[in-house]
Amino acid sequence: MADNIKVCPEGAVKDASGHVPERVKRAEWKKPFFDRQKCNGCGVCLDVCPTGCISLGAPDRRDHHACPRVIDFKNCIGCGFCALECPVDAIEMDLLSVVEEKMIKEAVQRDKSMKWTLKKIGYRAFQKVMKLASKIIPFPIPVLLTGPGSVMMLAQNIKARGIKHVLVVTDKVLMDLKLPDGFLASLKEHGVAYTVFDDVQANPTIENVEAGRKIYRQNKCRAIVGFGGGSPMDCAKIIGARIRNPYLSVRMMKGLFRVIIPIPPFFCVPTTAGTGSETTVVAVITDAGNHFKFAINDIKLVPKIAVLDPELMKGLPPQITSTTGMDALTHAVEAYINLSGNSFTDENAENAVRLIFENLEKAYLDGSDMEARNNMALASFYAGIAFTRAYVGYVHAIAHNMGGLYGVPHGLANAVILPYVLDFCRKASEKRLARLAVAGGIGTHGEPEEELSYRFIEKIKTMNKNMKIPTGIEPLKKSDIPLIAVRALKEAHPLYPVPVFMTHRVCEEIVGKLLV
Amino acid sequence: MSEKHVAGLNLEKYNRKPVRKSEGSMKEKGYMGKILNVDLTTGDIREEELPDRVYEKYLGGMGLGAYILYNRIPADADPLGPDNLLGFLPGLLTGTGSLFTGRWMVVGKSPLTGGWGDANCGGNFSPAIKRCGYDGIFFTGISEKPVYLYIDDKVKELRDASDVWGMDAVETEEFLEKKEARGDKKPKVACIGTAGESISLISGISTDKGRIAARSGLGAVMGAKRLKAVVLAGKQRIVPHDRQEMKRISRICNNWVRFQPPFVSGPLTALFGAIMRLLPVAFTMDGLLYKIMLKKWGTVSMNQMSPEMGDSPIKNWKGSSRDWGFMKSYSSNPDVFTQCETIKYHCYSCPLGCGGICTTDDKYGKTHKPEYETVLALGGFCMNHDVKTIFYLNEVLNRAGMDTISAGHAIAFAMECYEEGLITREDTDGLELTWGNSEAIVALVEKMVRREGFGHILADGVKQAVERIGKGSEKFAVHAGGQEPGMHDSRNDPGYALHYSVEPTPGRHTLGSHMYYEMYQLWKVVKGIPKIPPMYRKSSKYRDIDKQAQIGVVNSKYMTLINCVGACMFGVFLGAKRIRIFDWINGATGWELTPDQYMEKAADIHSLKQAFNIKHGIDPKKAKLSDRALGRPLQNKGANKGRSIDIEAMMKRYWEAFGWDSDTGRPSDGQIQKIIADV
Repeated sequence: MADNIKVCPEGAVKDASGHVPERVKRAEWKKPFFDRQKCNGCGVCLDVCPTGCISLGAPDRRDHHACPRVIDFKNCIGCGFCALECPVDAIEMDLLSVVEEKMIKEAVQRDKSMKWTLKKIGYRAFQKVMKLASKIIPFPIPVLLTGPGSVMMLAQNIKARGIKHVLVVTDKVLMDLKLPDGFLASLKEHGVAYTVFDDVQANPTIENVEAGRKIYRQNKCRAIVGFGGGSPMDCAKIIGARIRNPYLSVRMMKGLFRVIIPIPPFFCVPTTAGTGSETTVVAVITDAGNHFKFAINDIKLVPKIAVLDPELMKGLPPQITSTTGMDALTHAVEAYINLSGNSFTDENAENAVRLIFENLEKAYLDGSDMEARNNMALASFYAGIAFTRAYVGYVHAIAHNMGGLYGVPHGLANAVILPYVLDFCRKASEKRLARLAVAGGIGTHGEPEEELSYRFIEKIKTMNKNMKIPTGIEPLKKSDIPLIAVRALKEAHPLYPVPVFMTHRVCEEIVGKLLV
Repeated sequence: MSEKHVAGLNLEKYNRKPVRKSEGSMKEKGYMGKILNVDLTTGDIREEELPDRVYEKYLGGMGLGAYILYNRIPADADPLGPDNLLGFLPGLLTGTGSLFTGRWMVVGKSPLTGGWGDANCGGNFSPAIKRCGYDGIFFTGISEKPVYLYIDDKVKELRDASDVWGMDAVETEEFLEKKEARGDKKPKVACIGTAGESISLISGISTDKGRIAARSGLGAVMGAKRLKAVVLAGKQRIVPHDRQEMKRISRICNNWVRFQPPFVSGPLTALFGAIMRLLPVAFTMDGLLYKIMLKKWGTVSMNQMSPEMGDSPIKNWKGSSRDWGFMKSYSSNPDVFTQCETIKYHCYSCPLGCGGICTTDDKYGKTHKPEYETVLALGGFCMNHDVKTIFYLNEVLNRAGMDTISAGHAIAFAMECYEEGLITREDTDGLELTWGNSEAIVALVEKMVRREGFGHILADGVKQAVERIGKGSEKFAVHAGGQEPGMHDSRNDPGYALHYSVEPTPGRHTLGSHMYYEMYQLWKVVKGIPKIPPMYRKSSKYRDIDKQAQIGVVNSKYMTLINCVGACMFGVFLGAKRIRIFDWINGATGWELTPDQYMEKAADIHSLKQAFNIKHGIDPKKAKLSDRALGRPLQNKGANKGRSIDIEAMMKRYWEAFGWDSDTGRPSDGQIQKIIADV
């Protein structure tokens, strides 16, 4: 008679001689361990499990199949049917503690495998090539118009270029606040006709782009103005790309240098200080079909003129001031610790960090502080210059997925994730973080680097706390974590020259910390 | 606790012995030895033990179904009446530790063709039937009110289904899973959607929220019996004869499946297709290459390749690869589907996992990854290149439980009628049925599912639609004996033409073709069958009719065997040496037979299906595929330019090779007597 009758939860099974065997203690029930090397995801164990405690889990593209796992070891009665019926003998039964040990051991082993090492070498080679290429590629820097009221000068500049009709891309919130009114009036004054396209969502989608493109063509516009936060500016960039490249769909432009024909004259008026979109080569867009956020990178997307007008940012609520400011800080920090930086990007990033440390909390407390606002706008611009050449890192890779899946504002997601990722890569980029701490004015040369780097991360955490930024992401679901990890790593590898690579397991751990 | 308790260490002990006393009658032969007969008219549920010799003769699955149905359905039975039988059958190998063997069968007299009807489906339902202790559940009679059958280890009863009647397939499944759940273990549900309830002749039976046994119109039979669902929660064990042997063979198979080199990007598959089209010679296809594509993308990997090589019918079989070129098919390139795939989906005991769950932005939010057949039937076949509508329609048709291939054919047929002026805007309720009008396609499918207005005319397939429209529209309707053929062009591969026309279930793309034969590599294990050279001229396929007929016979036999054991075609494509079906059957049952003997058994089962058709008054000659799909008239452009098939001669040779009458396709009375007498 089989031994597994001893674990029948109801004690109802009798052996051949008719007596109920002594029950085994719950703590001593053996649990299944799934050997990923042998498993093929056939799902036989799911079917034979009498308690239904095995699940096939999320997709794992590394294996090209889903691997089963026990949802809750409490429900497993240790009957061993799965181990018995597994066609390829991939399941071993063992005590719970041993199983957990094996799981950790296997995960670590996977991280050390030769395949992963080779991949890392491949990524670094790619990044090296990109670094060399970035020396050749002429990254344009937009003409800057700064200071209070500078937005009025933009109309004049547009007119000077002989443009008769512009498309102003903005969003409904700004239109309700009547923020663009002054700018639109000045356009009228200079005899430049305009059409407003304000149907841009918080995370712009491909549908928004197509709608904007339709309006551009209907009204025979000749130039585009992106007016607002990151969303309208990014949307405006992609509208421009689509107008000149009608044969390329938005999905086809995903990646590096896929925009073939330069976009129409493009001007940026940021109303938040954070995205840096007014100077970068990147535009981020969401595919509503699968909630996948992706980036289009091309030097043709850099605007001709960027206007940094602190007056436009006066009415910004403190919540948005803080998160967009932290977004700019994330750009600066990630660009600085990345391996593709050079002296030019380092200088810009240091400037940005200094300005943000000095001014962000001031602007948060007092929105009408013009000097702080202006400095924040400049910081965002500098950070933009830095990261468009030296790229961003894992913070952005994860934050993009939070935006794509749950619509979490990009700045907020960045602010929340930044300290966790810095904790992870602190050791590898200790030197750089220490230098940033000195540049930010929270330390002096000569102090131990370790201490400085810790102080830098602590400073970010305090800033978050002071500005009431939470430590986790509320809508995050536990079941989505593997998916987020897969997508984030897909985005980061091999493009982002991060200081130290993250494996799938570590990424899952870090995303797991964001659970509220 | 003693070390012996550890199940993993003590395998041999319960390999041979039944676990519970109540299961003492259970056989250690991979099958359960019983079937369940349910009379829906009287509510009578009766177990029936089958002797071993039935299994030795008919194996299980489709073979068992053929045996029961041939003997028990009277000759003049109405397919939608009480005399028809509807059987749910797992495969012989399901649950025995073999891989790729998780498919189940529905059998019955088809209302669509009037003859033998079967439909095959994956998912997780197949082992559930066996775990209830049965090798088949057969329904007869008609219930007064809607019911569903519930089975677990203690209870077998028909329960009232009036509260789920009217729900779609996904809602029904969710409702019943919740209602009948015991702890964490959910029961397995097979049910019909709204199309089956409204007795649409192209409806199927759905399981796992969107996998459908769709062909032959058996959902209509279930709907006519007012049987909404079958809910199974049995926990009995399936014990093979020699588990270690089963595992040994499974490991061989598994090693081949795990071999997965990195592969090209999706749109590049179109290039392969174009090369295959342009070369005058064809290379023998190896299933391993197809497996790599299946594992990476699923069946959608063929979306661009297939039209390029001329394997996909375009524009209601009228168009060609020229009409559906690279740029038009680009919108449905394989990468589009994997990008929105959030969960990988495996059927039971499948190491390949070609399925997936995709997130969409329509009102349903997610859908099963559309199959190649669906994408082409609703895409290139109607010239629709809006891939979003395909995702949406996939879910709409899944929920209704309607066959996507037949629905695509019906729509394309209506479009051509509209183009030729046979129907006008008034007939179509104001829909502009021009080629590629995706909005009209969506509106029409929604009408078909609800049987509203013009949708009612198309909701029973093209053969019924021709009768309802008239006006000489039959020349635009492509079907074989009432069943719409699959999305593989018979002009590109004469094997498809033969199997569409000559099988007891006509119009089915899963039964055989020249390419399938190449991938089976059966000549390595079965004696006396034609071998395909590594490279051959394409035109030889059209000239050598004798060889084509021989290949067709082997295909039919092998596929019958595959359906008997419940294996998946995509697994079998790996080749007979890599996936050893014959060895698995021996290991599971303890029989010691050679592959040739199994092929003979399969031939008998195939003959029995043909005899079923003859008994029910089907003329095998009339099941011939419509002329347009045979290259009559010849196409003047595209991949299949100037190709036509001499199907009449091929059918005759095929019947001859089976030993049937070469003029009428009837097995002789002596043959049939011999097949059914031994049992």
